[in-house]
Amino acid sequence: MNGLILKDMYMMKKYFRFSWVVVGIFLIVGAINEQFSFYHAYSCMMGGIVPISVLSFDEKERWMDYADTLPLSANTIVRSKYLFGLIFSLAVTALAIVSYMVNCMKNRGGDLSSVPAMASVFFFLSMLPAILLMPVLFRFGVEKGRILYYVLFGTLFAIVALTGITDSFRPTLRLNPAIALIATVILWIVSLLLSQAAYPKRPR
Amino acid sequence: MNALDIRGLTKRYGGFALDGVDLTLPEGCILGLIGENGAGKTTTIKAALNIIPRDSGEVEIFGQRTEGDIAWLKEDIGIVMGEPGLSSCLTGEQVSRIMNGIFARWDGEEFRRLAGELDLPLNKPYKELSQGNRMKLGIAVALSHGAELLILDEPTNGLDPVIRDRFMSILMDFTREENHSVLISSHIVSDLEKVCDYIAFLHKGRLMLCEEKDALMEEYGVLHCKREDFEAIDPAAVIGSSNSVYGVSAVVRRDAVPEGWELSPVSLEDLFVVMVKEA
Repeated sequence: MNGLILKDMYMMKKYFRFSWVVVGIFLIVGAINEQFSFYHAYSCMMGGIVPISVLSFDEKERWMDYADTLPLSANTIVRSKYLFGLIFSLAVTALAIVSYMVNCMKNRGGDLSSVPAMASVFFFLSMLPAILLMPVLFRFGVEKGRILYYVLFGTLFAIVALTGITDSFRPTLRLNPAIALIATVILWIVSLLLSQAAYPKRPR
Repeated sequence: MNALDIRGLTKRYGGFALDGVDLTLPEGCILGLIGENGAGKTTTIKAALNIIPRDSGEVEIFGQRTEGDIAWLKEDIGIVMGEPGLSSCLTGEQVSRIMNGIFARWDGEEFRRLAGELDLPLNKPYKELSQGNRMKLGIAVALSHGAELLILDEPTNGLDPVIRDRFMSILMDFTREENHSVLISSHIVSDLEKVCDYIAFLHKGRLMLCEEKDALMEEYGVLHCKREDFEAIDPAAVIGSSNSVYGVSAVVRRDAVPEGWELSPVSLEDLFVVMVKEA
């Protein structure tokens, strides 16, 4: 599995520099702007989409066909992609939390009480693309998965941008961060199991 | 023990059927699988390795049945199935580091040695490699993790004659170890003729023959004669023939030709072409 993670890291470094620049800019803006939640939410989702994009490259470059010739079980291939996604979700969540804390210090009088809840929201958003899309991509391939990707991402983007829904969490937050975190992890595991079942049935 | 045993392998697609293929590759030998494009060579290999599900048949590799997940068995098998599907940004050096995390017995030094022998640049990204160099990269990976069995599907595609020759020498070196074996498919028959111990002909999903190469050479010959002389030969001994203004050229069974008639050696290519034409 180390080799698979390393491969994805090389690809991420080469193909997705621009994504990380955009994430960085959005988090800096989120740290200083009063309407910060959109920037944080967008950054988290963008970070979470990196493993999906790597998977798209894998299919385009016929990596999965090549992986069939290597001593890699279907489960190992799927798990490595989820682990890679988790690493980036955690990284982008951590950056978003720092940005959020800076914002709280600057614009909210240093009140950090909402940080745990917002952290769980950031984590959920960064994991969402993998949770929803990976099983579809592993089962049906990127072309069909891409349709779902645009529908899902467009819808969420519109909701976040137009309603500022994540702002509403902050002042009146009833969200239990621990429960939100556990729910996210459970959804991630369910998604992983679905992908493991889907991968052997993928189009060849 | 046989390195590879395929019995009654059947796989049906829409307009194609691999029909009960039987192949045996004894340890220490090279088996060449010859067939025209679309004959079923790749399907045979993929089905044998469980890369695609088979409809029926049994396959054993090193005496182990290949059913379900055989990832663990691929530690001992070097597989080349056309150009490797590597990311276009990866260099050969990066590929070596990746493979070090995939194969338990990855040998980076051997990989670099083979790359040198095959004139493969390791510092160029995959997208800048020619088709031949991409194939070399796949070959170097297949040979650098201590495999005992090589399964190579059209590995010489895109290689120039000099590198093809060097590659064939590498294969010969590989089989010097008595437990090392190779299954190699190709339609470049002359390559296989140089190195193979056993030859199998596949045509439209059916195995036409699977025999020792030397036995084939002893069994068949090419007869050049006048038409009148040719008509005296038992038709059952004739595999195929062609007419020209100079007479008849025919691939025949040596044992059915009257003594004293001169036969020239048959090439595998001639034999294959004639058998396919007559099939």
